[in-house]
Amino acid sequence: MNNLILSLNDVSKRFINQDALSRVDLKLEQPGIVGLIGPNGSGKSTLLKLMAGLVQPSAGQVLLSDKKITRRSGNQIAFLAEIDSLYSFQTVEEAIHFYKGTTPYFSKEKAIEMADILKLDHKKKIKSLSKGNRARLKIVLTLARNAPILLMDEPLSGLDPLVREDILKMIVSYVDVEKQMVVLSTHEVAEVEPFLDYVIFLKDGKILLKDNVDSLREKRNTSLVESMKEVLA
Amino acid sequence: MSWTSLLKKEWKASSTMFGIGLLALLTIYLLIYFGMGHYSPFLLLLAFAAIFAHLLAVGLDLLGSLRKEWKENTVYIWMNLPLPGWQLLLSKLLITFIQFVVSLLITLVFTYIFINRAIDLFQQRVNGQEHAIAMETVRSTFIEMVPYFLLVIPFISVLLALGVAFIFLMSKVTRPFGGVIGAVLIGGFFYGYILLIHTNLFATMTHWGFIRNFAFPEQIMFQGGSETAIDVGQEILHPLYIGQIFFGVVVLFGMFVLLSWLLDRKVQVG
Repeated sequence: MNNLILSLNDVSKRFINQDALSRVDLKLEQPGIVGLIGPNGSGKSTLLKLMAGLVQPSAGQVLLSDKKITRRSGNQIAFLAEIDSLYSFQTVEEAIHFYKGTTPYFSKEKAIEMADILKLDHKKKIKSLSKGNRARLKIVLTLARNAPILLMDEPLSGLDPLVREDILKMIVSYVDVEKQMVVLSTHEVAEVEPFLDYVIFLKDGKILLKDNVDSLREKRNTSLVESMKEVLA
Repeated sequence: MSWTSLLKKEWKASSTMFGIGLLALLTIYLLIYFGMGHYSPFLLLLAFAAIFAHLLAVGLDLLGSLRKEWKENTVYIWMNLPLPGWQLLLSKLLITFIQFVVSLLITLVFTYIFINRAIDLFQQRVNGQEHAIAMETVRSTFIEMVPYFLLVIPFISVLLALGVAFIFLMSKVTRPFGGVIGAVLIGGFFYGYILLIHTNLFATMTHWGFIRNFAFPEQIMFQGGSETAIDVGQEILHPLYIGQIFFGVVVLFGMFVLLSWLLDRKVQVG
């Protein structure tokens, strides 16, 4: 199967009183881990939601290998929201069964293995899990979908260091970097820098820089954190 | 992939509220039953009000279910499921409809029980024979109307529910006026629909495949207070045709297809 290409052609997104994204052009190709970096309000979440077909562009086109992206693209694009978005009445086990029954390629075995590693109680209701464990479960369910493209909106945001470490460990261990593409938004650059292949710096709804991480380091002769400070200053 | 997982999820999401609602309904009906003896047999009218309140039941439940997805942010999961929009919507509609049918059947059974109790209570009164006889007409009318209720109330309730869902989804298509646009469009559609069913064209289109006549009084008037009275109006015939049912199903299907398309192509999470 050919690699999937996610492209945004001159995409703008306007909400009632503000431009969230302005004339964005972007082309991302599998595989690899892409860091979407920018301050709060820079348009990272909106960009990811557009890529998942969960919001519609005000102008321009969002395409997956030349086909318009809609929410039905969920068979190839898994989206992990920053906010708590699990069905709280389900148990961990029921959530796994639900995903197994509703998403293609979902690996129940992989989900159970990850849940066991993260010591999630399968019988526990989601509403009685701690914030950290809900975040762990979200990452378990997203990674087990085995979608060719994984979009993760601030997967580390607001979590304590132990949970962040667990989540990064899961991403590194369970993403097939030869086949899958992960686009993760964050402003915790230092933590994710070692894993990134490609980086996009976003500010005020505009892409300020997009480049391969290694070539960026070579060109600027600095770490990604330093580059971010310079670009987003 | 199977959408039974969706059905299970919808059932689980709504079963607690449904159980509480059912318990509340049964409590109210028991209160009416005993209240009829203590206060007035005419308390049975509350059961008729409850039957007609079911017209709004599917719409309110469906709206509640859709709103909950957005309010609790589970819409990020719900809309990212690659299942077609019709499956996402139908699972909600089906569970809501099953709960509605259970509630409607309980209400109809209790209404029958209340009518019988009213007849008993009137018969026990010194001057209640006339009322008891009138209530017997109400009972036979009610029995005649049950199949009619079971056809018409679910149809109108689902039609209104699809209308409400359309307004809600439109509010998620474009902000801030999507909901208003949706309300105007659906209001215009319902108005046109009401106008249409009173035309000869509609009769021509739907009056085929005669099923049966429903015969019931044009009106039944209850008068409470010190001078209680029950007036039963003249009996009129309401014919039912396969064509009417077919047309109704086509309208519901068309609205459902539109909603599914909206959900798949236009609706946004926020």
